[in-house]
Amino acid sequence: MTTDTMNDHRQFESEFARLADRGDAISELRRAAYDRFLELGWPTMRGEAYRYTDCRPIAQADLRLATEGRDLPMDVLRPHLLEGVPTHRLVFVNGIFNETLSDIGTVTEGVTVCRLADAITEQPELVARHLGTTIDWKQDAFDALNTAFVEDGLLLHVPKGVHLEQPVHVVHVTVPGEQPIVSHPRTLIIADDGSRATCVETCCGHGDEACLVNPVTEIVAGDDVHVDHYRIVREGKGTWHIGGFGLTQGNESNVNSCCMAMEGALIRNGMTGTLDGTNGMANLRGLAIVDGDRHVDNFLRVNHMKPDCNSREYFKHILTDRGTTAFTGRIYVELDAQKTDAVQTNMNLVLSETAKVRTRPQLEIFADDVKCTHGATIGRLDEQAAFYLHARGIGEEAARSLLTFAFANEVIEDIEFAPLRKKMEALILDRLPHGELLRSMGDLD
Amino acid sequence: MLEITNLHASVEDTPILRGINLTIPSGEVHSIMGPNGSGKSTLARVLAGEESYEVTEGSIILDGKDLLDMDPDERACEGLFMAFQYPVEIPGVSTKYFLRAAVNAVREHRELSELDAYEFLQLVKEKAAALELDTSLLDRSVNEGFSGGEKKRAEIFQMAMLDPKMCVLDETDSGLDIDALKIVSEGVNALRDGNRSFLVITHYQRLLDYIVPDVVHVLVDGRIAKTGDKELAKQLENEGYASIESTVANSA
Ligand SMILES: Nc1ncnc2c1ncn2[C@@H]1O[C@H](COP(=O)(O)OP(=O)(O)O)[C@@H](O)[C@H]1O
Ligand SMILES: [Mg+2]
Repeated sequence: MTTDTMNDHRQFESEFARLADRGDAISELRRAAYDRFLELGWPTMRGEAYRYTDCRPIAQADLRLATEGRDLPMDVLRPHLLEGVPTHRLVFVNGIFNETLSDIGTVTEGVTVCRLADAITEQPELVARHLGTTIDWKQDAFDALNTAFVEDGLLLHVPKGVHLEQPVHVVHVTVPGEQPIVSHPRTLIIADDGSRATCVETCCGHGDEACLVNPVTEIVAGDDVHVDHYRIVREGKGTWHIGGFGLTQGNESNVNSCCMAMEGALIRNGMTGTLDGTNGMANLRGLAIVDGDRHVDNFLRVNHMKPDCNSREYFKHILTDRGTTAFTGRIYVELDAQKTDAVQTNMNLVLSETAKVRTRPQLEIFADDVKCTHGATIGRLDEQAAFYLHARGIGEEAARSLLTFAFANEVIEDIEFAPLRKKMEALILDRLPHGELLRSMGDLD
Repeated sequence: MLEITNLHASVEDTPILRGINLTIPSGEVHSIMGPNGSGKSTLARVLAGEESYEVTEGSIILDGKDLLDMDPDERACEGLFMAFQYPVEIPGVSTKYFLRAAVNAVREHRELSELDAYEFLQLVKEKAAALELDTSLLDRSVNEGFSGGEKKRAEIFQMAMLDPKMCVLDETDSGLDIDALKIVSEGVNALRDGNRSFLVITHYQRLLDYIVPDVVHVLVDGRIAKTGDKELAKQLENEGYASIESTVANSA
């Protein structure tokens, strides 16, 4: 084993030095996070949080911070766009903003949709006040690393009472090369009281070489807010995607976030939701389709800090080949958080003998009047259902696809924003044999 | 049309069908009656090709082709349709999508052109109307939350959509009230065209007042114990299965 690189957490020293003396609004935060990363080191499987995700290849990869964007033809981007819907679009290539591919357009009055790099200089107080507040970068090395290297990404600020009309679409394209690169895109969404917004993030790859994509998204939601957030992960074959997500929400707020882990060598989706007001609803969902030797790890923590809140975690994994998945869902209920209603579900559909599933619910409950339920299932396709389909003339593979689609569809069927729901359906169908057959059925609606 | 010869089948090494011989010429309606547990559903499921039933002896020929060589979907494409006694609920699969996949799979096999959305929906409208089937059911998941009667009606609706040559109806009457029974029977009778054949499995004679069979067979203990015309069904209604069961017992 190359212990040298394993223990050399200072591999980014010179790259950090370049950022460190920038003296902007978040320099101190960067420095603290960098120091914390040095202390934590790369996560190992001995710790709780990365028990099921082997980070050794990442630690040994001799990663370099990507400093160059690439010009890409629009054609590369097209399959990732939402068809027929105007969006405010920001495109980053290897973490670097790409002006040509972006199209922010005209934004609803009062709302800020801009590069985080611009926000750091133009709205330093706003950024400094919120950045890093929803995630536990002191405990998670990857979140710390992202925070140490925050440079650019998206800032979405929706002021009090404003409804953002069009969705924001931020696209992170990774074009890896011979030298393994790393990028740390950051998304900061600040939704003031009474506001509404939708944000879609797409992380996609264009190339198969090894690289690390380490994005962090934060949502700071005030009172009476409604935010819908989606992250679609379609990385290249050699990409390790370690995503962080943090959410805090105030009274009567309703936040949905859904992570579609579709492609990439390794996808870890770490989510922390904190219900910090009463009567809130945090709805976290995820779908993973895992084939080949791929691995997906959904690692969640939901903190109920105040009374009368609901949280829902609904994660489904579909495994074939030698795919592996892990799910950890921790629900923490503070002493004060009476009448908490928390439901956690992790369902695994295993389509091969060699796939492997791990699932662990963890409840930490200090209040006494709460309703917390969790359920995990690991199953195969229903044979009776398959026989019924065969008995109507539908062949083996098509029946399997139909039933697999039905399983997956439950994650996304409630998405109200139809173009996005259609997009997600198409993403699922593209991964199934006979997907095109099922896809053509959409015209019956 | 259908020729079953010396058919033996078992489940987990327990013999259930023990030498069935049955020939249904094209255009005829045959009925199988029999006490509970005699093997009626087993016969239906063996015909449809369910894997948990092992055929240990005998043959099944549909229109000159050996059904036992075919997977269930191929049998359906070849024109066999089995209406389930207990239709399966399939959450998440829209009935409409499912049915279009089925119709087009069958049509492709029969070298007919695929139905486009418009043609398919026209066909749905036409067939549903005949069965007084509420088409809003088609937007729901397959059989999910359907009432007993709705499930049975939906089975016959599927049968009409798939245009089979050999229809096997497994206790389609159970769970139907008299009005629903009439509608379903009319639906079936409408499909009697002189070529299509039917095997109507039932426990009660009542259904046969509406779907009048050409031949009635009595299944007891995995064998056909008696064959007659529709009067046999009436006789069973009056005397029960006991008399036949005891004859079988004596002869065994
Ligand atoms: N899948 C099965 N597993 C075990 N036993 C079965 C199975 N299917 C049928 N049987 C048995 O076979 C016999 C015939 O059942 P069935 O064909 O359902 O009868 P019928 O439809 O005439 O009421 C019964 O004794 C039943 O318990
Ligand atoms: Mg039966």
